[in-house]
Amino acid sequence: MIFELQSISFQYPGSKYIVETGDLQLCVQNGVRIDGPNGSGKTTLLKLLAGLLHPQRGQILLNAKPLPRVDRLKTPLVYVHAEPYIFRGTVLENLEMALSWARVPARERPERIRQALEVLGLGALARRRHFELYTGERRKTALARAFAVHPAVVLLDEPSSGLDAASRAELMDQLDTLRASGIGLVLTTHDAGLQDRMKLKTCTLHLEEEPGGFRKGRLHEIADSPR
Amino acid sequence: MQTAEWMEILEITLRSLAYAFLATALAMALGLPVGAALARRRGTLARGIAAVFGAAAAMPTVVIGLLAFLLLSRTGPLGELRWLYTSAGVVFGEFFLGFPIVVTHLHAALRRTETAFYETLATFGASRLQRTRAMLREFAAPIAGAFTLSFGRIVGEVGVAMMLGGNIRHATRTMTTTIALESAKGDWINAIFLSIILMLIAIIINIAITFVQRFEK
Repeated sequence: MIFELQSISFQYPGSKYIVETGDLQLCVQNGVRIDGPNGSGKTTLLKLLAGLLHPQRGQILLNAKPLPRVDRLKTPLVYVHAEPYIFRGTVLENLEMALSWARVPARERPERIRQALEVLGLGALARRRHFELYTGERRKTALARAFAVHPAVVLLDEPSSGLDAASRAELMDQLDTLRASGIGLVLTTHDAGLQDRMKLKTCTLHLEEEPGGFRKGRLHEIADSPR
Repeated sequence: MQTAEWMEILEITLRSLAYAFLATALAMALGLPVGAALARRRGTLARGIAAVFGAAAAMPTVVIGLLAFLLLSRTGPLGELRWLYTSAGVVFGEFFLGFPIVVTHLHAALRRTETAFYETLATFGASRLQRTRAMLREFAAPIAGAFTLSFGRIVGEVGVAMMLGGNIRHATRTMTTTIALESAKGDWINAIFLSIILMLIAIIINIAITFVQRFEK
């Protein structure tokens, strides 16, 4: 899975924050970390790659083809929020909903759900309702939901924030499992432990102050990237 | 009271409930998409429109009745419909009572919805129909709340039903217009009896709201 960023530029309407990149290639198969100071646009870049936002200038290619609309992707690119939204219902129902949205045939769903619950170690929580889940369990549910749809890439925003040491270690194992299963990973994190363990390629957004109070997050280079 | 009087009270009660139900159903059909669309927009225009709906939701029923009357009167823009002093006219006027309540209630409930909700649906590729179904499922409690609030206001109002229905016996007479008429005539028994029915409906609606709020979690 290779993302190609062709000099993209994005600005939220009415905001003074801009995210800009040069021409870059991002091979996400072994995992990529987006780094940068607060407010440099890491989350925005992640959402652009997920197809949830669209650049005003330039374009993003996925495997040499323009990134299609999210509902037209054959294999989904799943974005996981720093604080994931868990829908009303049980963990199991959340997985079922995601599979139906991703148009996974009904006959395949039970096996997909079983696998996802097993990989994420959520078997015991399957019948727990959305308001009974702690932060770590909500993250796991969101990851299981993503894993179940067999995505091409999972894009995670600060996956380890707010987790205790044991939950972080567990999360790293799970991310390794995801990576080993061939799923591309792109994530933002300030967690040095996670970076040390996963040895991700890193691309850094540099925050630049511009005249008129504009702030630009600029991404021009990727450390250890196959240019 | 004789059987005929009981039957008339039953007829009036059922008519009032039918008017309120129909008007609320119409208000929901239009108010749901409008409330949801307003909640997703953060601009000055959206805030202005929401404020107008908020003001309309608090408008006295006789004012709404008067506006609807002007619309439906023979020389009014909708006079051709000949809905004045008909059931359709009453439902039309009551719709304008319920519509701003539904929009305002849903706008308030949905505007707190996190962007993550919409983005999660998008990232899994949910279709428009699937997104609508997810919203109805996720926000069942505020939607039910909007319905009960609107129904409660409509079933208990007198201004619109009187002005647009004309309180015609066996045609457009409702519980509230009957109470007004019977009180004026000094027939307190019927007025009190209908008031008790209205109070019971109000209590049932309040119990329904409390019940719905328990599932807000």
